[in-house]
Amino acid sequence: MSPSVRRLLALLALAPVPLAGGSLLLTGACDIKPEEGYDRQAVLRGLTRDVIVPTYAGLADNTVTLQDACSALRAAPSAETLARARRAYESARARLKTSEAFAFGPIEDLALTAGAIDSWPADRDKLEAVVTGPGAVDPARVGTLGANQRGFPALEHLLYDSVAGDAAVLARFTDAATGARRAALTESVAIDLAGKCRAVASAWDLQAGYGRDLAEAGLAGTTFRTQSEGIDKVATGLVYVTELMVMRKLAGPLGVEVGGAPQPALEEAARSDLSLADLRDNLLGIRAIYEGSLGAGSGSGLAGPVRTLNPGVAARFEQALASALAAVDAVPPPFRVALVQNRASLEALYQSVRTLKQLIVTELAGTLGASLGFGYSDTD
Amino acid sequence: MRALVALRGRLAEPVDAASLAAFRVLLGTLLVAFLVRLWRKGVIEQAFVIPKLFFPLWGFGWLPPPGAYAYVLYAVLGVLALALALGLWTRAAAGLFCLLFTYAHSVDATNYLNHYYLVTLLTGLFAVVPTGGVGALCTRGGAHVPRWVLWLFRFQLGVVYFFGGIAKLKHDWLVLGQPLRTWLAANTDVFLLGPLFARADVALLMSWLGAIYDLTIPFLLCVRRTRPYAFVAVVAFHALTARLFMIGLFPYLMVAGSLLFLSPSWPRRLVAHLSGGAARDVAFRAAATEPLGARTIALLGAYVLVQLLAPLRHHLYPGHVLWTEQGYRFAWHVMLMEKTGTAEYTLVDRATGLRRVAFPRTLLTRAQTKAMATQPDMILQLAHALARRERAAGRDVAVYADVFVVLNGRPPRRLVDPAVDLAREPESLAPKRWLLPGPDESPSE
Repeated sequence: MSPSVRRLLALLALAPVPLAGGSLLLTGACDIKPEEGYDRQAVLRGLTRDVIVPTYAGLADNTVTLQDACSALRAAPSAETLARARRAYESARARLKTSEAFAFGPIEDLALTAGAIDSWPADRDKLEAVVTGPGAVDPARVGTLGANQRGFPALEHLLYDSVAGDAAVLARFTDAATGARRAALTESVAIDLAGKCRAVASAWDLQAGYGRDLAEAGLAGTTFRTQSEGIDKVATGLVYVTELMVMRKLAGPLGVEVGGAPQPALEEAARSDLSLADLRDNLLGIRAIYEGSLGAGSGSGLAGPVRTLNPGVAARFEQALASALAAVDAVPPPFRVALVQNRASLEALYQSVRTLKQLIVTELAGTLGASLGFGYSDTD
Repeated sequence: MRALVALRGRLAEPVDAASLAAFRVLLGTLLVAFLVRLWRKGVIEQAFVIPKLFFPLWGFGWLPPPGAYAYVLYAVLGVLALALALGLWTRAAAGLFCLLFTYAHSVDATNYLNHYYLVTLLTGLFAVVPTGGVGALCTRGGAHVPRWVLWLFRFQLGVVYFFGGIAKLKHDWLVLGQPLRTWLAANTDVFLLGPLFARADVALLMSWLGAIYDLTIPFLLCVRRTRPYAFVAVVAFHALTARLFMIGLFPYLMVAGSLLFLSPSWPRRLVAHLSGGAARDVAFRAAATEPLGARTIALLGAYVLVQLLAPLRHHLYPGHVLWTEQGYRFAWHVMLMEKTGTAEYTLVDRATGLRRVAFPRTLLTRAQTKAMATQPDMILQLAHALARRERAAGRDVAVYADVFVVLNGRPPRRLVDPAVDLAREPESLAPKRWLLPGPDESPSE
């Protein structure tokens, strides 16, 4: 080997040393923060323990309460039992809509849910056909119905009618011909729903279920290969809910895809007038994931790392979330009336949630080092 | 002139085909494993069956997507990869694999990966150049091949590294340590090394070492004295990247490829060592040396030239390649950017002025939505698809895109000029004038 080749090889072999030094000098020159990471496991454990599992447990508990209330309604239909059933419905629904900010894992498992928890809109004609048609009305029958004849949308159809009014709803339960079957259907749907929600909550078990998988992401035997994949899942959940809000819950009824003509049939919960509450609960779900707490306080959520890693992003996100919450509160209820009489308020809400979604996709996820898990393949 | 003649003679010298045979077996086996993995992960369903709209690579728009036949396609690919590994009609198997694999990954740019392109090239080489018949069950060919065959494979693998290194010589990589900073920070739970990955200076150091590695490793693998160290470096580097990033087949492919840089007879020595005997040298008859024909020289030269120029073609376009992505594909821009974006379209009826919003997600899968939001050619393709759909409904619309993109951790920026009617912009390889300047460029650029 010639001396020049030897010199070249020696240079190449030693090159990393001065380059490493140079890199460190550059680091200083570029004023790069020395620490970029954060405790992903603490975040995942905190979110699982303090936000996700309690929400699904609350949903399961509330649907049991709802089931009891529907049984009471069936036993003695009255304004009081109807009101009790509605209160229970609204409590359970609030939990469900909060959970839409982390709608991954067991809730996506069709083997557990058959998609029968919240496939909206309800197929009203088929539900009425069950009420007026032949055959037994019991949980077994409900189990054979399509997803859009079960769960929350079905109960909304049975318990509410924002146009006809409360008296008309009660009258349907006391109707001599079909009242008993309607009440039986209501109770059966509630039983079916409670079973599904219980199954989801159980699957989120912190000791051996998906709850452990997420909280202990990266450990052998869990769904997630790394803690990072767990964070990816959480961030993707935030994108999913904002996408749902923008595209389906707001753009749909506002008719932005068809030139602006209102599409009242596309409203999420027009029959119960809960659409605005649903949107608010979605936003509260996002806030719960961000703060790591279901209450007003702060826990081990995404906020800590984001505020540390990029205060600017934290400030923009918090401002956007606050604006979206203010925008939803600024819409004069109910949604279906605002759609016609106060469209500007709904458009403002649409824009604010759109901004929130953009921030999550383009800034929040990046700050957390999260890869939005929509890809199914490898990268390079 | 004398040197050229000498080179021509040297290229024609016979060398043991054993290392090429080993690589063929490894490549085929890796491809079988890769295809089984894709099948089991549901990738075929996600990539070919569920999508209703596809983003063909430029020039491949005439190809029909396979739809549910993708399962058949992948099954055939599996059989062909197995045939390649076993050496059953090697050239035919490799050629058919190359064509079908290229087809599968040309019908939708969502699925483009650099190492899929490498698989196309390597299987293409196995189809068109004589790789011998060592260890093959049913392939004509001897125990040796002309030296140029082995060098061609080495060149191809070297190109991946070298241009991968050239592509890293960018401000983001060398000064900001991006995107490694972002990606390493997501791996702080890695055993032992994890805490280091949280450090920006470590990311920067690794960026530099990565660039140096890419730029030098093909040469260090070529030199006998440095080869053992270089090979250890290859294994260590790819073991680390396989652990840290979801890059599938790539690290295994490159480690397998690096074996081609060892002595061409290494498999015989290994077998002899394992069986306790002495390695038998393959007798090369002088008659086996055939002069390199002019046609072969011309074809080789053309191939080499294309491989050397294609990675540099992005210099023909204005703007930063990571932002515009013009000339980005087929250029070994490997692991260079963390890019996310959001895209929406506004359709304006030219007759009535009626404005409507179109959400890509309503037409595309999540993976397609994510991919198209940052890739200008896909943004344009979707704009055209929307315009076509409207035309079919009897409406003539202008299509405007509202696209915000984040590149390597910078604040989001508009990618597409929102005032440009994309329905009227042609799909071509010409510079896309409707792209706005990237974050490193001043608005006047």
